[in-house]
Amino acid sequence: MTKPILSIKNLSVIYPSAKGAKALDNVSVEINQGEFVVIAGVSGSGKSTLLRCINRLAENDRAQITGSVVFGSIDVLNASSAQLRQIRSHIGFIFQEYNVVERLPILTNALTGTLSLTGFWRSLFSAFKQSDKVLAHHALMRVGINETRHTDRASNLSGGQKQRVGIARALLQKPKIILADEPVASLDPITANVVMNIFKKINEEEGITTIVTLHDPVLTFKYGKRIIGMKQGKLIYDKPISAINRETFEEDIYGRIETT
Amino acid sequence: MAGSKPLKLFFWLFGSACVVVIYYLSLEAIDFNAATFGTDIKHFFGFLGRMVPPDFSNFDQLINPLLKTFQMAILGAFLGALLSVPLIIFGSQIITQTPFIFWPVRMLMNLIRTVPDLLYAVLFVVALGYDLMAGVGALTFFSCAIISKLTSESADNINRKPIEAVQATGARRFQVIRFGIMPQLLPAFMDHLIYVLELNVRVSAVLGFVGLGGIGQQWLTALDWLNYKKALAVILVIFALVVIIDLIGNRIRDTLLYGGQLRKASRVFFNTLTIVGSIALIFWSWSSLELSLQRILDGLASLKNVGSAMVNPIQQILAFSGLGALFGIVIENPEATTVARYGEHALVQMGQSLAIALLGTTISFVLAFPLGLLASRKHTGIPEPVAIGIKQVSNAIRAFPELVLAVFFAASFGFGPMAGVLAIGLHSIGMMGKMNAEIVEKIRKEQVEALQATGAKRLQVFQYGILPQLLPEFIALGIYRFEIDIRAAAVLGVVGAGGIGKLLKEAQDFRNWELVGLCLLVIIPVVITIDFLSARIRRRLIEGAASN
Repeated sequence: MTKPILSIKNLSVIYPSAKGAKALDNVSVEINQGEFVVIAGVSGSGKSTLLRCINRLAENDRAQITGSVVFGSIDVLNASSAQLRQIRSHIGFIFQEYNVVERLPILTNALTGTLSLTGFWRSLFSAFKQSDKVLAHHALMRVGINETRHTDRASNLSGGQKQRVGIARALLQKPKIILADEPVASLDPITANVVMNIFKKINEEEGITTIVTLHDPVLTFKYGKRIIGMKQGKLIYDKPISAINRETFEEDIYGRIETT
Repeated sequence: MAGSKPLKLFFWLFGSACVVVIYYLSLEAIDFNAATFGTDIKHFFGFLGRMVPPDFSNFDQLINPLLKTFQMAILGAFLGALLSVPLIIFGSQIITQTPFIFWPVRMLMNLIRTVPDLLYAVLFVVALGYDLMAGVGALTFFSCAIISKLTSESADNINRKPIEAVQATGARRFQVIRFGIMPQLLPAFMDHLIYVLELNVRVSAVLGFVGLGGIGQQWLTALDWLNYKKALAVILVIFALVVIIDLIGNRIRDTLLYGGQLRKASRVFFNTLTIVGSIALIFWSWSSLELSLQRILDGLASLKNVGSAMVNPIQQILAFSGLGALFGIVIENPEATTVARYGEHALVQMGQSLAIALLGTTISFVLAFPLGLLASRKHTGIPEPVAIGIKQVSNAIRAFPELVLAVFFAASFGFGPMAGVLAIGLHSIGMMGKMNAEIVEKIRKEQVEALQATGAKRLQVFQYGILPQLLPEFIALGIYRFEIDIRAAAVLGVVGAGGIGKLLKEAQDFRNWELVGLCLLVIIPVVITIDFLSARIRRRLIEGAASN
């Protein structure tokens, strides 16, 4: 059996602001090369924290992380800051709020994906390599943004378009894995499907391992090939789509919905 | 808030009693005389009458001082902006993540901001003599204080999400700053830079009061010769320069910052034009004011004069408080020292300055309240032309600096604190009226609509939907204005409007630098203390309003 691309063992997280409550409670999971995994659960179940531990963005929120995260063969939690940047450059991360720099042109936003390979002077004057620019144009067109718009400011875009820029940025990192944290939660249902299809295509065409967190059961079913369920910081469910019982699925993951 | 009812009542009564006593003492401190107030007002309008029509006959003589003023303003803003960059970088929690660095830098920033603009001018006159370079120096510090303070506030409030996205790509720290932080901060920086340039023209116009040349000197001369028509002409010229800078500055800023819609070619053209133009302006000012690196270095070396002016009074204060022995300070003939002779007087004068600021702020707070409400057509149902007209009222008032107003009032109410109160009151009405109107514009309409939907009457909607949103903000703004007015009240005496500024001006005229130092030692701690208290109260008000 091949080695998993990502293996998480006994991962627990505490936020100091939450007075000792565990945001993640002893989570262990292995992700294999090329998988398309959906992590499902209600808000506050720990989905985001799990993703943000994989590239240690959670530390921005002062999370105290224990356990182990191994990406490829590197121990993420004990990596030095230089190693961590190396790791992050191989992980494309997509955010719920798109996190584009609104005042920068769309093209430059996408090009921030190449920063880990761009030198000091080139970054200072925003003089990216011609080859990177070509790649950026391609990536943007691939996610459906016309070339005529590439020099516009990102603030002029709609939510769905901003998220496409976010995906293009991740693609330019030439990532080994894509982590998408509630990528469609702020979008309307039609646009949400368009964006999810982009992830699906990238996964199928290039074999890039993809982990998406979703709170919507319909989308979870439609796109997940393996579904992981989380509840109150614990991993409570982990099955390939073929083994899932659709009748009990919602109750299994979200719990019984109290009706009074 | 836990606390029994009688206890609350007690605090309420005690608080009200304190307020009454404070206002009584303040009125006492400014020698308020209700009997003569009416005739003085009449004098004031008579005085205004003698200024029209303005006399532009010597306009050609105004051009050179006006250019000098403009050049000082430009160089001050440019050098101040340069000086503020390291302060902003090392004082920002987001960029510099080490508290050991950003806290001291922030304290330094606050200290620079504490000193009123005219005090910088006095300090630089002490160091450099009566020279236009002293004006540039004062404006540099003044600009640096405002730009660094405002930009750091923007830096604390920037959106952290894009920063996270850049981090997530594996970018280095420098790259995160370059692509995540700088694009967000640059507009704020430019915004504040242009605002400061406009302020500098106003301030450099009054630098003439402490003998620093430029257009302010012309104005003083006209007043000294009782040539009021010419004095008005000078004021109108200054006003015109401020308006022109404001207009052009806003245009440049809008195109630079929000020019996303422009075609790329014209954007590049415009940016190049602005950069080349700015560099040319700076060089022109530099050579025209005959500045050189050597002169600046010489000037810095002579700053030690300021040092000794400050050190002696500090030593004397230590000696008098009995702490002198700790530092081995021995003072011969203690009765003859500056602190012994002027210490008490300086404190009394500072008290008068506080009274002036308090009364001036109170007047403006009361009057700016309706002005702010009426200047916004949102939700209040004011017809648009009326709202715009009222907005212009506060804009027009605000165009006159306190010092200029103080001179007018001193001429009609006599030299003394009353002139200071009225000057500060009137100028603050302009400032607060404008800012109150901006607060009204930002009301959340959801809450208002929710009340309208219940069928509430207009007055009820106002009381329950609008007023609760406005009141904490208005009060916080009033307290903040008090901070600013204290700075103004501390220097207004320079034109004879009472308070400690009068002592400062006398000390400067007699070249008694030790007494200048003593005045600074009284002003600065008081201003810092009030700033600190006011910041705490304001935070309480705003956060309390959010959580209750």
